[in-house]
Amino acid sequence: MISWRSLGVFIAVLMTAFSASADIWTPVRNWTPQEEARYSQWVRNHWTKDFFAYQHIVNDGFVGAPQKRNDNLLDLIFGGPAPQAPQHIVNPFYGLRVDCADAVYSMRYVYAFLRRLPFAIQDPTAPSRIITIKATRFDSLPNEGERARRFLVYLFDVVSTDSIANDTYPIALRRETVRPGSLILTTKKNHHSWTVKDILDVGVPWLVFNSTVGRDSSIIIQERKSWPNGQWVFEEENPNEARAGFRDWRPLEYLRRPVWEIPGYSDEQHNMNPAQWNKIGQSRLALRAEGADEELFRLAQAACEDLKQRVSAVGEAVTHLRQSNYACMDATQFDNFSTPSRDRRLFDAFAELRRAYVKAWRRGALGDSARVKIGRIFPYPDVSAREEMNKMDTPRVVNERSLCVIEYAQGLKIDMAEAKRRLFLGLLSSNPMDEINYRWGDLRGPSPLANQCPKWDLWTPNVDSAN
Amino acid sequence: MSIRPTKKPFNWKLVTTAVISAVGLFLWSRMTPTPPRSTEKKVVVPAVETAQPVEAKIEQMSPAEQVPAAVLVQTETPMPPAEGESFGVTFELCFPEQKAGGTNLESHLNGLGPQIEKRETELQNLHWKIGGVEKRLQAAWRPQGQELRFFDVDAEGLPVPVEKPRLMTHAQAEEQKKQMDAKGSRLFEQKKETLHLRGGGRVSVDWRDGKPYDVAFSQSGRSLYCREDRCQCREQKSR
Repeated sequence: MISWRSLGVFIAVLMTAFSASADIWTPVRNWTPQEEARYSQWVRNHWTKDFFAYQHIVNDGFVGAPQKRNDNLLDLIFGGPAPQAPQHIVNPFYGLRVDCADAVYSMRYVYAFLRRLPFAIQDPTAPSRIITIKATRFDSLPNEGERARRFLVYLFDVVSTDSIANDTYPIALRRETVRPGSLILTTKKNHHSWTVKDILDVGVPWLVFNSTVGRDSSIIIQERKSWPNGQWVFEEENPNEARAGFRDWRPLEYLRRPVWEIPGYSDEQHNMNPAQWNKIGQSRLALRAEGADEELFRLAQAACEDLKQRVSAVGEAVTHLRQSNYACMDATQFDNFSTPSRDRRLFDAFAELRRAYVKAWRRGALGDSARVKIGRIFPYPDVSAREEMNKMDTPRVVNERSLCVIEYAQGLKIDMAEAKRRLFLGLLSSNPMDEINYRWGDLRGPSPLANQCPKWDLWTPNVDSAN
Repeated sequence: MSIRPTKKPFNWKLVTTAVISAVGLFLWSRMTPTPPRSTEKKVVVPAVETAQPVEAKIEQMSPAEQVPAAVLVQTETPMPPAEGESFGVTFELCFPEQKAGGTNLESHLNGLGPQIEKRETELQNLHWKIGGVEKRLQAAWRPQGQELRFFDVDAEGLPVPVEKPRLMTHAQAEEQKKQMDAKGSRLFEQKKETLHLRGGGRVSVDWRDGKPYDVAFSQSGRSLYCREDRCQCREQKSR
């Protein structure tokens, strides 16, 4: 006969079984050198600027590869073909909005989830603790993908560029160490970061990243195939920290350990002249030399990307300004909607392009296309950047020689040549209290409104640095 | 009389004991603090690729792979700490031109006072017990002031953000901290700061509850990294 006592135990066991906590996911393998190599391969092939825009990803032995499906409207209405290929799985991270630090953590986290690997970071608020996927806070969600998504969103609210240094370590600037899946971090002053999607064979990093404003404007994040300006990356670097530059993920057993004890730790990037960092880096990472025209159009493409991204960033700021009925912004809003770092990066991109153009022009290495298209942006390679700026006193009108035409407001279009002219003349405003005509330099700021309101940390170009 | 296998009566006592033990073990395993579990027990240390110091890799490179002589690049040569050496000895070995201000890290830092030209705080983590629950605040120093992030703490000890990060002036941020101090008692403080010394040296200190935890000294092409009293000296060499 079954006693009441044993029945009670049986019920208790049942209840415990049903209420048993689930990890965010259960790791089924470990991070090994082979797994690290596979992670690198995954980042190279599948970590894209539109990763979060795909509703489905390929289930390739747990490794997701973003691929577009034929989700067109007619198919959806009439139940048309577009059957879901068996290798596709739902992308649990579809639609997430990320800033620069979120993008960095997402790259590692998504792969760890897809391969069911362990994942942990140092708790940014309590340095003696770590945050792992052993957390039970999303136990109520039965679906592993949903738990993984919710936990990543939770992490977004906890991590920042300040925490990245706790979870990564600086590496030597060499082809064997800088790899797809590593990252670049700036100094605290500029608090920015990029993921390294790949290293091009000409020694240039292909970066996937985002910004605070970019997080709100689109689920498609940003990319560039060029080196960031070393002087910006390492600006006000603390020699003790070796924080800025290329970094890689700490092996989990090295979380909370002194960074200098991590195998592979190297502070050599910090000991380089920041102005030479990208030149030294490119020469070390390159597998082949880059042709003059190839370099020019790559740099022009990078500057064009920066220019396009500024359209949406400024658009967001102006929308906010109008919606708030032109009220002065507090420090947080001002920081979110101003564009000093972005404008400086845009200037740096043009400056690098100019230096490459002048060098190729002096060597007589310019191809016809570069001479015509890029020569329109830099019409006076025989003089300094400042003299060229002074000579470009009239606006450039968009024509058939224009590169990278943007429309920054309805009916208002400029090309790269005109954008460069305005930028070098200091006409572009990074102040979020300015209306769009000031932000894009139709009018020279500061506007009366911007003058009335508090401002923080604005930027003006130093044209002489473009020589 | 035939011998037939006798059917043993079901042993409820044994089963009950086993089930209770299993449940007990299971509950115990869930209640034990777990954070490092996945990292400390399951993960295999990569034996080949990451265990090899980069310096060793650099040594193995062919001359063609090494840095061109024309490019001024510096590499590091770690100098491992000697066993049982006091901090003062380690410091003076790393910086022979300087005298240690004490035999341990803390006394040395305390002795730096007159040499400090400027102090720069970079980050602060504060924990309080307020009304019986833990509250945390992270303050990150920015060019415009301090970015404050407030957190509650859940049952597992994980930080739970209370609101979006707020950028404040230093005065406003310090006022916020004072208000928290007034509401409860401080449980923990981490403060990362850099001391700029006269003569160009810098000392970065990660203070934990007022005691130095991670400290880095740099001067004249040498750096000394310490965690509490365990140190490593790294020398920058020009090629």
